[in-house]
Amino acid sequence: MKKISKFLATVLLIISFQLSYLTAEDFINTSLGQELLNLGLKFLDNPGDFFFNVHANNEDFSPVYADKNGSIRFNFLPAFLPFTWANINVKAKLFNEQEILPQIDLVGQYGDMLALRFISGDVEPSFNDYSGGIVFSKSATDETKLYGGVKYSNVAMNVKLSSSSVIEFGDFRVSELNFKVNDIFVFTGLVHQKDINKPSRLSVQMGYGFEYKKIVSRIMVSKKHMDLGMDIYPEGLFVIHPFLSYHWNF
Amino acid sequence: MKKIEKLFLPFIVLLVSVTSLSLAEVKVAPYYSLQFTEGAFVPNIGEWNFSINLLSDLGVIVKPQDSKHSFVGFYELKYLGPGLRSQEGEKFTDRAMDHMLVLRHTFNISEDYFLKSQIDYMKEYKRTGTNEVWGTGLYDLERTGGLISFGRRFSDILSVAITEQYHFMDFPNYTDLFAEFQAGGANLESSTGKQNHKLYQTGLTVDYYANRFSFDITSQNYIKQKVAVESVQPDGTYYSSDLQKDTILTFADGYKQKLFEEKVAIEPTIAYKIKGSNQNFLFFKTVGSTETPTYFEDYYSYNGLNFSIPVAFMIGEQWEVSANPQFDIKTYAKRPPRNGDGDYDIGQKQKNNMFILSSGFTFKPNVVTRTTLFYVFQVQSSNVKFEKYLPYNYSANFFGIKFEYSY
Repeated sequence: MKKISKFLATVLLIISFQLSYLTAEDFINTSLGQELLNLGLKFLDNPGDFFFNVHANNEDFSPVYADKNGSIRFNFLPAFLPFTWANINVKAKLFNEQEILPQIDLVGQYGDMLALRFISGDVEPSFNDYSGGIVFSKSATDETKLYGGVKYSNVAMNVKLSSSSVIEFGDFRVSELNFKVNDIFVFTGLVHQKDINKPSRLSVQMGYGFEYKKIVSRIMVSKKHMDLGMDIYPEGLFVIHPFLSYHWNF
Repeated sequence: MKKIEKLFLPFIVLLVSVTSLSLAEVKVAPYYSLQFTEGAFVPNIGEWNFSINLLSDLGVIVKPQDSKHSFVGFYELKYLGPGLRSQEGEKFTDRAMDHMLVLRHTFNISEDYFLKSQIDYMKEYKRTGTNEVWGTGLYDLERTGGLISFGRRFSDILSVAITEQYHFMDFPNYTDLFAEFQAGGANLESSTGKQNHKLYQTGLTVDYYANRFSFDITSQNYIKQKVAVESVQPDGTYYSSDLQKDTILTFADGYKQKLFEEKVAIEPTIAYKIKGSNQNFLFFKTVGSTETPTYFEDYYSYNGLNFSIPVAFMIGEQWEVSANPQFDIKTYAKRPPRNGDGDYDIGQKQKNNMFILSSGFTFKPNVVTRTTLFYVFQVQSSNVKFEKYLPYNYSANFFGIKFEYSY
């Protein structure tokens, strides 16, 4: 362990020494700098898509546990941290699965980016984040449940930065973030729960948005109070969004 | 709503309804599969890039108890990101998205005879880069149709099946850009739909011991695309009254074998393809050229040979090492290659050779999950040296990770 600590300390020392001689222009010309530049340009090209992807991390449209009535979920990463994006996802079971009828759940999600409340500018920042949908699910085997549904998903932001807060990115200047992304998604998935008495399960889900022809896929492991998983956005700024959430089933 | 959007909701209702039958006297088995691949490809020409592929299947198998009938319905969503391509005419930056719905019925008439029927629909979106909007691709495609297959098991080692399929291929955005330019916008409607065609395929499959031999005849009948000719016709165009028709004959044989107490799986496959087309080609030097175009007869006919030897080594229950060398040789019947200046080398025939070596190291922690670290080496050589728009001579490395979940 001591060897590892020494090694890491040495690497950090070398990096910090090198960085002191590295100008911003030099850094941009490195391959890492070029990659970061490309990422930044891609973000500027469509900031709404990136925020929509984070918004989708906050959603949970998997079915409510068979022995519960609903759940409340709060996504830590990557929403509250690092974006101060407070969010809540509520699921409520309307009907239990009965004979040929599927279980039906209603799901709603709401969020607010707290940091925007502290931004000063000529225009009051606005942020709008919500989703709503319905989920149908039916047991296929003792361990497996298939589900599918429809949801409406929306995120909108309008922030005008003051002149001192303008972000300069090479030749580009960002003085405003103004977008509205909303879409109707159809999604299908499968829940695998080995032991009905234990709240541990695996959810795999895919979704498709009609307006932007957007594909979203999710793999999520749920424990008693935690969700750990990843969303996959094949054309997103970041293809994989790992997430960590807290939920309370009631 | 568009057709595909209308299909989604009934499919989900159908899926849930069919699953609901599980409590009736019906056996229902769900099927779900997710494959996600992320990697980087580094060609020796052009720039390296990340590659992402996603494949997701959701389906159900329904079998009423004590019945000879069974039903399968599934929906597949596939995303193919930028990456190496093995088809001629595709660029590394191309992307595609497929939605496919399939409903299949199997009737086991007796122990030895079966009848399968299927209807399916596929919508494919294509785009050449992120600056294009999905749904506007020139080669966006809708495929609608189905198949019927009849088979007989003669013995434990011999079975035969014959399959007939029909699909209509609709390219809603396709237009002949050159014809549009020549028409000056006067008659754009006549330039659209030229890629649309009816596809008929008759196939014979013979399973004998570990061999699977197959023979297919595919016919593509274009409904609007006329055949190009050498001289100007009375209507002022270079097109005759004959419609384009392509025919493809494919012979293939695969040999599937497990060796050394099933620790090694090997499946060498060879396929030979003969494509014949009555279409010719007119080469205009520039879009606005007034010179007489150069005429090339039988421009699209070719013969192709494909050979692959996939091998997998099982290391215990959880690990697997695999390799798959694949050779692809394509020789055009009459098409001459283009030199570096874009001029045709008359008297020669275009040849493309491709070699792909895929290898992987797979971890299987349980029966539903597979994670593979893979490396692919791909090299293509051709006597076409004109590579302004498409790569013909390159070598490339592709490596990454693939995650598969299937239940």
